[in-house]
Amino acid sequence: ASLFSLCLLFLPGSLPSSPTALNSHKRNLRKVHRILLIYAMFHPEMGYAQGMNDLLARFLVVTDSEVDAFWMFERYMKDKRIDFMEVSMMRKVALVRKLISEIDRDLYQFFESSECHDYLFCHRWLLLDFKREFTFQDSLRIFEVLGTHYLELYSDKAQVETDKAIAKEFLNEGGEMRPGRGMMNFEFTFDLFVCVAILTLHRDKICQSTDAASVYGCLNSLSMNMDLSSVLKQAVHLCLQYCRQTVTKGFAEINI
Amino acid sequence: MAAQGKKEHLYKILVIGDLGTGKTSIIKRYVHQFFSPHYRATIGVDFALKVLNWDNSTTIRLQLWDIAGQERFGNMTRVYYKEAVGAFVVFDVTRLSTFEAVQMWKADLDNKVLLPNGKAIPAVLLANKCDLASEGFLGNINQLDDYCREKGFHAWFETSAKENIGIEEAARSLVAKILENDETIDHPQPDGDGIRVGEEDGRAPKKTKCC
Repeated sequence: ASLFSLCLLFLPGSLPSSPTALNSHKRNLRKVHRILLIYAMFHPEMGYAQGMNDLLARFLVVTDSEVDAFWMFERYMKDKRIDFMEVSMMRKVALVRKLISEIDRDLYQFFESSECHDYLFCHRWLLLDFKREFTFQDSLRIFEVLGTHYLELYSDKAQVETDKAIAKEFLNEGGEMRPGRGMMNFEFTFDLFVCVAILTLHRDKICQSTDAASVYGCLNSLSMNMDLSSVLKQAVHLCLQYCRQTVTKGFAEINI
Repeated sequence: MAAQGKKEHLYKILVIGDLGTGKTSIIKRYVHQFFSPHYRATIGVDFALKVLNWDNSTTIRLQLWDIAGQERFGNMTRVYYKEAVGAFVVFDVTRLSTFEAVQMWKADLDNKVLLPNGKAIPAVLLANKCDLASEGFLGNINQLDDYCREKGFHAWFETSAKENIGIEEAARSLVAKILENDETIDHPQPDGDGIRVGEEDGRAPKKTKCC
């Protein structure tokens, strides 16, 4: 059934009208179809899942090579596949909730009291690495940003920020006590900070929502209407702030 | 000022069915009067709002929850199904497998959501892409009446999001059934705020408010 569903990509009528565009569109669809089919054959336990075509599109467009795109996709899916499993995706979405609870208490309270305390609206963001939230060019950019793991809690940049916070606390205490790294949760990956960035940047609009439908309506309307640079800037800010806060929080606990 | 006593209902309706059956297209057609031939799989859930002026005294707001046809997120749908009062189950008349999946979707629905009176929520079956139907397996489409009775569907309609066939009628049929349910189900009054809506005997349609 999974392989069969791939045929959907060939739905009759799903083609553009101009003959040139039609031909190239058909050729691309055939490539997508073949790659996903071969992937599904080699990974029957995964098969085809909705969203894989979005992920593949980036490789296919950038490399313009069916072979390269296949191998990149194949490699990429080694890490990404767990996001296609319900348990791990639910867990990831739950981490967004946890992170919000540490970063923005008011927004956290709003979601808790709303029908959206499951945060499932983050599902598509996380599964597709925000592909549908930004223009295609921007979606490539965020894909690269996430792919480099330049800023994760274990990264050098986060370490430096944490050390700075430690030094500052050390100084404040007159050098009497050396604070530790506190209770840093390394499960908070950078894509989660991007989710929180999107949510906190639009918190006022979100908080006007009165029910689950209006929350979804509000968040869906953000798709293609966000400035990626502002979102990334906010995500970086939140991530580094989290590093500093874990130190101060950890230190406050020692002081008691 | 709105007319005195004008009732406004808010109903949550699910649109479910196998992937690629046209759930999103049906909603787009119904809400935005628009059809796009390009297929884009729904991830998680999409959502649209349709406002119906049902009659002079009733406005109905339909929240249409467009649930991804992906079968592997079973537990996620449980969350999405919550508090729905009606559903469309969609299949693609050109693909038999999507019809065979209908009973799976119906069973899933009945397992996960019930009306306050413990009954199944009304579901309407949509035989979509009827513009593409050839002789195929739907030669016996007339037997769908029996099928619907057997599986507990309120009704079925042939639809085409592309050609705008049957969707309005299907929606009217489902909404009529939901309204009928509303009138026969006793709903608890919201406590203490003194707002009484609906009939004098204390039956108030769910999520109804006065304008």
